[in-house]
Formats: sequence, structure tokens, C-alpha cells
Amino acid sequence: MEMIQILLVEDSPGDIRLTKEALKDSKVRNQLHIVQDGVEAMAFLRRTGDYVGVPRPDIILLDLNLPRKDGRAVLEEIKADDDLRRIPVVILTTSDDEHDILRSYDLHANCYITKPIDLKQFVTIVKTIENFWFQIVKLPPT
Amino acid sequence: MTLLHETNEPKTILHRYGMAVTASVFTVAMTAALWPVLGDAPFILLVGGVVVSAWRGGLLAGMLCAALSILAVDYFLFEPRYEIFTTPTNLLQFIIFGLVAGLISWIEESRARSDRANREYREELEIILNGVTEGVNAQDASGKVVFANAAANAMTDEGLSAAFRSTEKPGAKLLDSGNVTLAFTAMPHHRVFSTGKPAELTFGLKPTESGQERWMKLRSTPVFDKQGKVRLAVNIFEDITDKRRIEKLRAETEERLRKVLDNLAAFVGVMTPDGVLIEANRLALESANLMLEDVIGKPFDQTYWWSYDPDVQAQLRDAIKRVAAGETVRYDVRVRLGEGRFITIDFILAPVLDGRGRVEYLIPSGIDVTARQQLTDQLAVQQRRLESILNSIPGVVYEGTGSRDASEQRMAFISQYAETLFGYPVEDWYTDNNFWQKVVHPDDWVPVTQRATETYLTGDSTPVPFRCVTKDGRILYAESYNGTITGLNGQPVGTCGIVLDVTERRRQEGEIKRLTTLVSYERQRLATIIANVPGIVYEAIGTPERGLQRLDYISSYAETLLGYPVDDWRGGDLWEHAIQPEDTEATLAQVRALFDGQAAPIQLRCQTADGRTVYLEAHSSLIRDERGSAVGATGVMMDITERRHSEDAMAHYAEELRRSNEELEQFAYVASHDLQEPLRMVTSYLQLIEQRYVETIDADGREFIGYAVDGATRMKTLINDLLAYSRIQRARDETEQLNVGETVEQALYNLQLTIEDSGGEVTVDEPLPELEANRIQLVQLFQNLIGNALKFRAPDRPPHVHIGAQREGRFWRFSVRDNGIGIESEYLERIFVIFQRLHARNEYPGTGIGLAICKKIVDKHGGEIHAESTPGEGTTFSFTLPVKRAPRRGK
Repeated sequence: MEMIQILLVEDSPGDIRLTKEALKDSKVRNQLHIVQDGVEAMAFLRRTGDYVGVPRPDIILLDLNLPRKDGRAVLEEIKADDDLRRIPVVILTTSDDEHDILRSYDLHANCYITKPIDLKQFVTIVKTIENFWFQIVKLPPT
Repeated sequence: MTLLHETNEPKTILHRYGMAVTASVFTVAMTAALWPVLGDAPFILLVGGVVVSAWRGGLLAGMLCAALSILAVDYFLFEPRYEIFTTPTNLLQFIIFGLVAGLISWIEESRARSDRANREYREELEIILNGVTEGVNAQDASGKVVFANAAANAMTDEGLSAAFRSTEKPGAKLLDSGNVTLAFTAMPHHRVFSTGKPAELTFGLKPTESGQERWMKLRSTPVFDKQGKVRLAVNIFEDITDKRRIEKLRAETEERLRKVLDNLAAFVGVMTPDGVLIEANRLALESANLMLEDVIGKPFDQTYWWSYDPDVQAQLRDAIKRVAAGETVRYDVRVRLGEGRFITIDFILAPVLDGRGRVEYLIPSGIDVTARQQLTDQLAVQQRRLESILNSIPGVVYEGTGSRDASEQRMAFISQYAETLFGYPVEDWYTDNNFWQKVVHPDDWVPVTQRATETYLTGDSTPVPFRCVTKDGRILYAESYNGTITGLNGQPVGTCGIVLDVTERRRQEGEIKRLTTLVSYERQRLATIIANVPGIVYEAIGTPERGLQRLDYISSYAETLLGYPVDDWRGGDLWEHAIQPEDTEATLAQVRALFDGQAAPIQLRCQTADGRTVYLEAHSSLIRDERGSAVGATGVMMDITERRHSEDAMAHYAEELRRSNEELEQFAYVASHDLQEPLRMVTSYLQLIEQRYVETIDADGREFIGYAVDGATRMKTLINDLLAYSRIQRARDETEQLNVGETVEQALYNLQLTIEDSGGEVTVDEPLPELEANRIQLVQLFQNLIGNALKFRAPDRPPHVHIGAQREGRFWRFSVRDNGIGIESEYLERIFVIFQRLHARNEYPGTGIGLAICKKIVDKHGGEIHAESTPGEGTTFSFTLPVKRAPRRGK
């Protein structure tokens, strides 16, 4: 079975760690790539600069509030790029603001998830993402 | 006269008896002489005497002869002579002789009587025949004339007698009616003898020498004998020379008359009194392409000329009836000449009377008057047209003829408008020459008539003003324009003119005068107002397209305000003086907008003569020409420098406020957002520690972690509520027409678990109204209030929440009533303030933001919210929402 490539765009080290923890016991073989701002995310996706030769991710977990280039701009760029727009983008953010939700979907985010404050719930959510996106959903062929 | 037989003259007595005596004497003498010879028949000779006497003289003469001769023989011859013997033989002889005489005389008498009757008949016949004017004669087969009456004798001369001859006599000539010489045997009596049938001939007699030609008409009839042979030819003839001449003359006259008739340029005919046509002239026939036989013998009204219209035929029949009774009828009528071809004729139907005054014939005649009729029609049309034109003129057109004196003139025409204007029927003017006097105002009558006479004499046509009185008593002001009508000799024969109603014009003139006064007064008043307006009143001519505007007027306040003398502005260019060069373009743009129809006042920045800056606001209207194009602008410019300053300040404050609000909102959002991150870290990792190092942490440690996590969780709730609160302010102002009942249902659905947990019930007044609101917020409003009511329930009873609504003018008032613990009245106002809590957290958890959110939602919808409560019994929250949302105000 192919290894699932996950790109996590997140600037909070706590959340990065929690995500890693949650994915550690995953049933699916996966490789987690982490970038900490929007500029790096785009560089990774376009394999420029330090990211020449990185694999193309099968899914992107994207925070909205990011340094340099925020998540909304990243989402817009991905979905405007003929090459990248098929990669599913899961918005994973602390904001449950109505505006943010509407705007994300307007920009063709594939789903929007608010990070829960409770650890158990967070783990459950990450596992659910994994379960849903890696096992249930048929991803576009790369 | 030639008699056929000699007549026996009647005999005298002497003659008759003398002859009897003579015969007696002669026979006695003869008997005496022959006596010896006679022997036994001595009386034989006497018989002859008696017979002759009885034949010639009758019975008595015979008897006398017999008596005398018997007595004489007896006396002289018988022995004894000279003595009278009367023997029975003698008596017998006498009786026999008497009988013979009687027989003979009777025969003779009868013959004579028949002879006489015959003679009388013939005589009468002769008298009759002689009375006949025609000649009558009879010829026998040899041609001998055996009888001729007086007329025949009178007519028969050498020439005519030649005609009756049986052989030709040279020199006499017979002619037939064609003047051709006739064969002698052509004469009728020849034919009568040869054919046995009557024959007739009209022939001429050519005179042998100089003499008149004579014409005879002869009719020959056969008379047959007992064997059936023609015995006689009876000729009846008359001299028709004169008759023939007259007939010829008449034929010529008739021919002439016919030619005249046929060449008349009129339709002429003749008919019987009962209307049957017996003659029609050529024009009448040929015009309609008819033959004589088409019409002759037909009832006149059935003929082609008339049979196109039953009415015309009926009219004709009526005319025929009247003319047959002796009248003469004349009328114009259309007759048909062909299919669709008609002419109008002047038709005359006249009777012809016989000698006794009876109507013998009817003479219809007609002359084509189509052209005349057309002319008459045209004239009538023109006349009508002229009259309708004159009648449609809104003035009284009249024509008076006759006298120069207006009061004696006869109205030849007056237009219908007279009736409209004065109310009297126009007939009044025609019937009463002096009718004008009734219409013209009594005070004006004399001058008007004088002027009319002057017009008549001099042709002066200056209008004459006068007053009139209408039938219903109104007084009109009139003006008449008159002219003179001159006859062929150039002399005036009448006047004509038009009378106009100038009442309205006079009224308008008065009105104009009044308005002029009013205008000058208004103008003065306006000038006073303008002089006192604290603003510059201006009028500028020109459009932006045609270059800058030229000031036509500017009020003196311009000088007061800006310091430039007014005279410098007028006629000059407004902008050059006071507008800053850098403002010119912006100002012009506003002027263009004004001319494009925008009503916004123009803002100007001007430099005063002493260098100050003044802000003006020009309220202007466009001046339009008669076609509606803008040609300039007028208005008033107000000094808004003060206002401008305060506006500037206000705009500044408003901007600051807006920025401040924005920052605050941004702050609330960002802060609450960013605050969640560390909280999550705290919670998550505390839980991770608790999870992963469960063996190394003791009970105290776990309790502490519990408090830390609980604090962080409450912090998050607080932040979320705060976020919700700030979100209401930021929320897009989206409203829709919605059913409040549905939003309540949604809220109840969201609260389903809470309601079940509380064991209470929520009731709703059905139906709740519809209104315009933000759906999400309204759901939240009800959810918060109902949730609140459930939360603060009394410990001893299950909660009951009731939701109601009632109309209050422009608002709906909604109420959420509970049976909870209630609120002390002193706190009723404070509960809507954010973070205000009335109870300890462990009693009733909450952040104190819920009601603040409610108040904010209601405020935002333009309503108000308050609470009423009886502590221990319950609380009623009530809020109002407008039925119709007020127009949104600027942010």
C-alpha cells in the first residue's frame, strides 16, 4: 500500500506536536510534512527553494492564521492552480467564525474543522480525518 | 231625269164614261153593220166594248157600256124595233155582261193599283238617289246607261261619259293613281261583267283640251237576273279631286309636322287620355336607342324612359290623371336613356282638347335640362358651402340690402351665429327689418345706425364698437366691421359685415391690466425680498457647453459677502473673480451635473476681496427656453462657511469613531481568537500529562489539573460568548421576511435536550406573526430567552415557559414568560449589561453575556427589551420588533 503524504501547514508547535501524536497510532501508513507559514507551504507545493524533490501531498491540513502568508491566501492560490486544485484541503483552525467558514468554502476548501479545546476531542478529530480522507474517500490519482 | 216607263195618268169621270158611251156606240154600230152575219150571236161584238170600257174606265163604265149597248141592240136591231123589250134573256145577258165588266175592271184595278205602288216606290228611290252626293248609274251589258241619278248627271261630262263607254273613245285618257294611263278595260264595270264580282278603282281623267284634271273614285257592283247572269252594273262614283288635293295637302302638312317633330330638340310624344303612347318623335326614340314599336301602344309609364323607378312612374301616372282631367303639368324629372344613363328634363304634359272641350290627346314633351340642373345643383352646393362657411364663423355675418338707412334695410343674410350669440332665432332678422334695434343696446342704437349709414355712403370700414343685449338679458360688447356692397353700376346697394363678440377680449384686456399691476407689485416685493436675503441671488445665462456662464443678475449681497462691487460681476464672468484656479475644474463638473439634471446644490470655494476663504452653496434651478432646453441657471448662493467648518469637524469625529469601533471589533475578534490558542495548549497538554503520566501524578495533582482545565474551559466559554456578542455588531445586515413561529421552533429544536432535562414545557401563542428580521439573530434571541427561563427555574416546580405576541402599532410585542425564581426589581435594569451576573457560578452557571446579546439583537432590529418580574413567581421578558423594518441607516 502506498504511503499517504500529508502536508500540515501550522505555525503552533503545540498543535504540530498534538497532530503528530494523534497520527502516530494511525492504521494508515503516512508521512507527515510540516511547514510553518503560507510562503513555505506554497514553496513546498511548487517544490521550489528548499523543497525541490519533495513528494506531492495527498492531502493538506491548513491552519488559517499563519505568519507571512495566511491560510486564506494559500487556499486561494492552491485552488487557482490547475496543478494543485485537486489536492483536498482540510481547514483545521481555532476559529469558528462564521465569516471564516463561509469564506473558506467560497474558496473551495474541501472541509472546515474547528480545533476543539479538549485533547480527547482533538485526537478524535484527527483520527476521524484520517479515517475519512485516507480510508473512505477516493482521492484523485496523482 | 229619265223615266223607265210612261205612267198612266188618272182618268177623269168624263173621260171614263165618255169612253164607255163611245165604245157602246161603236160596238152597236158594228153589230148593226154586221147584223146579218152575226146570226145567233148578236151580242158578241158588244163583249169587246164592255171589256174595253171596264179595262179603261172601270166596273161602272163597263156596266154602263153593257147596259147601253144591250138596250141599243134591243131597241134598234131586234124585232120589234124601236121598242124596248125586256126579256129574261136580256136580263141574263146583262148579268153576264156585268160579270165580265166586273171581272175585267177588277183585274184592271188591281193592275193599276200595283202599277201605282211601283211607281211611287221608284219615285221615292229616285228622290233618294238624287239626294246622294255620289253619282249613281246603272249600265247594262252593252254599256248603255239605263239609269243615272242627279249627281251622276251633274258629273257626267264628255270625259266621264267616255269612261262608261263600252268602246274606247280616242282623245280621252284615264290615269291610275300613279298617273299612268289606264287600259280602257280596267274600268270596274267591265270587270263586274266579266267576273261577276264588285270592283273598285280610283282614276284620273285627263282632259282632252285645256281643263282641270279630275279624279274619280268608282265602285261597281253587279246586279244579277233570275238566271244569275249579270244584268246591270251599278256604278257609284264620286269626284275626289278636291278631297284628293286636301288629302295630299294634309299628307304634306303631316310630313312637314313630322319632320318638325323629328327635328325638334325636345322629346315630344302623343298619347291617349288613358296614358297609352301613340306617337314619339325621333329625338325621344333615338336618345334612348329605341324603335317606335318599342313604345307605341304601351302605357307611357311602362316605357323604357320611366320604368327605372316606381316612384317616378307613380308620379307620372298621377300627372297623366291630372292632365286627362284638363290640367297642364310641368316638373323636372330624370328619364332613362340607357343603362345607368339618365338626363333631367323639364317635363310638360299638356292636354289637347277636341271641339267640345273634351281631352282628346295628351302631349308629353321635355327638354334636356341636365346641364341646367347641374348648374343649379352646383349653385345650390356653392350656396350651401358659402352658408356653412359663414355659419361656422364665430361672428355674426350679415348682409343688408335696400336702403342706406340701416333701420330700413332688409336682411338678405344673417349667419347662424346670431342665434348662438344673441339667443334669438335668425328668422327674427328676416321677418323684422328693424330687429337689430331689439338687439343693440338702446344707448348705442343712434350712434351705431349713424355709423352704418356713413359706411354705406363712404365705404368707411372702421370697426364700430357697441353693446348688445341678448335674449336672456346679458350685455355683450360687440364690434362690427362693415363694408358696402356696390351694384353693377358702382352705386352702393347694401351693406355687409361681421359683428364680433369682444366681451372676452375686453375681459382679457382688463385681466392683463390687473396682472400687469400685480406683476409690477410682485416685482417690487421680490426686489425687497432679494435685497434682504442673506445670500447671493443670481441669474446666469449660458451652458457649460457654450463656455462659462455670463452673470445676468447678481444681488447686492454679493458685495456684502465677498467685497467685490456688484457692478463688476454683472455681465462678467462669475468664476474669474472669486474661484481659485485649482477649484475651477471641480466647480465646472458640478455645473455640468446641474445641467444634466442633478438637483444637488453646487459647492463653491471663493476668495473674498480681502483674501478670506468663503464656502458657498448654490441652490439653483435651470432656466429653460420655450423648447425646454436649458439656457441658464438661477438661484441663491448661501454662505456655508460656518456650517462647512462644523461639518468638517463632525466628519472628523465620525471618522475617528468609525476607526475606533473598527479597531475595537478587530480587537475583540482577534483577541478572542488568539486567546483560544494558548487556552487550547494549556488544556490539551495538561490532559496529555494527565493521560500519559497517570501513574506518577497523585490525587492532589489530578485535582489541580482538574481546576486548571476547568478554568481554561470556562475561559473558552467566556471568549466564545464575547465573540458571539461582538459578532452581532459585525454581522452583515441581512434581513428577510420570516415567520416568527418558525424561528421559535428552530430555537426550541436547538434547546430540545435542555427542555427534556428540565422536565418543563414551552407553550406558544399560535400563530406568531411574520415580519422582517435577521433569521439567525432572531433564533438566537428566542433561544437565549427560553434557555434563560429554563435555567432559572424554581427548584420546587417544573418550568413552564410561554411565548406570546401582540400587535402594538408599528410593532409586534413578544413576551417570554416563565414561572422561575424571578428577579429582584432593583436588578431588572442591570441584567442586560454584559458580564452582569446575579448568582454564584455553582448555582447557575453562565458568563453573563446571554441577555446582553439579546439586548443587542433587539436594539439592532430597532426594538426594545425589558423584563418584569415577581421574585419567586416568575419573570416575563418582553421585546418589540417593528412590523416593517425601517430603511437601513448608514453604518
